[in-house]
Amino acid sequence: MKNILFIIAIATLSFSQGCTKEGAADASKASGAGGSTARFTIIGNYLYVVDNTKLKAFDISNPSAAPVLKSTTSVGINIETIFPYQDKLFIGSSFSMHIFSITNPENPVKLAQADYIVRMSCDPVVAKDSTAYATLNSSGPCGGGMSQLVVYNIKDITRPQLMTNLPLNGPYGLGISDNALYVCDGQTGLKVFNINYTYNPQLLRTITGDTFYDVIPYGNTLICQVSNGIVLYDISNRQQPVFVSRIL
Amino acid sequence: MRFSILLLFSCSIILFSCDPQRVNNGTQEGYVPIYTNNLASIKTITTGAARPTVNAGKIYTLGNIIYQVEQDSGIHVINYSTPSAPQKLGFIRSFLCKEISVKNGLIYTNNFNDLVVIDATNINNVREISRTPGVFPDLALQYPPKPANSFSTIYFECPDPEKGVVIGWEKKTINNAKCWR
Repeated sequence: MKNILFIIAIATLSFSQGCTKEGAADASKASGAGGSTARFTIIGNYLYVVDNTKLKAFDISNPSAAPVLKSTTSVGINIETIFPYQDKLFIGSSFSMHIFSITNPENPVKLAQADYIVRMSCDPVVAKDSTAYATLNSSGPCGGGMSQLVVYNIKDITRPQLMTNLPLNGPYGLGISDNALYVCDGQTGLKVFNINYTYNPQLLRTITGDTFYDVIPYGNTLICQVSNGIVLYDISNRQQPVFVSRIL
Repeated sequence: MRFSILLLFSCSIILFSCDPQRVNNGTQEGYVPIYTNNLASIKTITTGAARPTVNAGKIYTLGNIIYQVEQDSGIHVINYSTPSAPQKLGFIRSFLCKEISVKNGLIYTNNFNDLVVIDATNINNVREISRTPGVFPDLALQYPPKPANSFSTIYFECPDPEKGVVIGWEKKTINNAKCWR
């Protein structure tokens, strides 16, 4: 059930960041991007899959053959999401944020684990530079507790440091593009934060009218997964999304 | 066969308990497995015309295409080269679909509990390139979903591998439930 509700997305950031120039934005479209609530991510010639407890690495370099399982690594329990950033995988679970190195892509190695204070939540993670952002959802099926956005300093990747937490209502996926952080706060709406001060996100605005589950910032478009389909926003101005269309 | 053994094993040990102390005598609300003996029909990828989104699922984008999972049933393929007027191109059916990723025109998704790779370059002629069985053990449906908002125990009829593979759960009044979670 959790799996269904907590749609995860992943590769978004790697491709959406730093693409303020026109040319760069176009180049970014050569690679695909997922949301923050995914259980799948493709990096180079490898497909990484998380099930409830394990991380599996598949070699997909031969497109005409079946993916070849290269390694299976135990991660923890209630694993929900996987998000790639540079040579790291950020794995969200009900209890912790796990960080794996994929310097050797066939054999991910665990670098760190940050345990959440709030338990029984559903927790996608995204990262940029020395900061990781995760939403902890403690509403509905995710358990009783406080929903929040947590911000970690990951300058020392082996020792994530909790910097801030901000209250949310019932968050799901999230995404980053340059100086904007987009947080899907379920029925409350899409929250847009200024992250010029990366450890201290400032809420700029909440876009209401839909139940938001996940986002992919992709070039100048913000693709939002909502309860009945997709809504597109223009984010030429990163911090000021403008409605474009709806796909039902 | 391997699946049945796994299922049996899971049944008795890991996924739920059949603790006699917890047997609920009498009738109550619970879940009954829906079985199939025709797994081939479940484990098939087909395509169809574009259709409205009902239970919107995960999203993925590459170039001018957005893929959106229709929870448990497939993938909508959408062209948004003109973002103000996006167009659905078609629908790829995949039972229990939840995940999507794309590379070099190939779609990686789940079909039931298998990992499948699909060539969807031509939406009208979608081909299954490969299938890796059992990559998603959690999706094998050995037990019914917990209702949202609930930590309370749910009771169900224990799956019987002799009857086939479980492809869903139906809420019913059941007698002497032996399985719970």
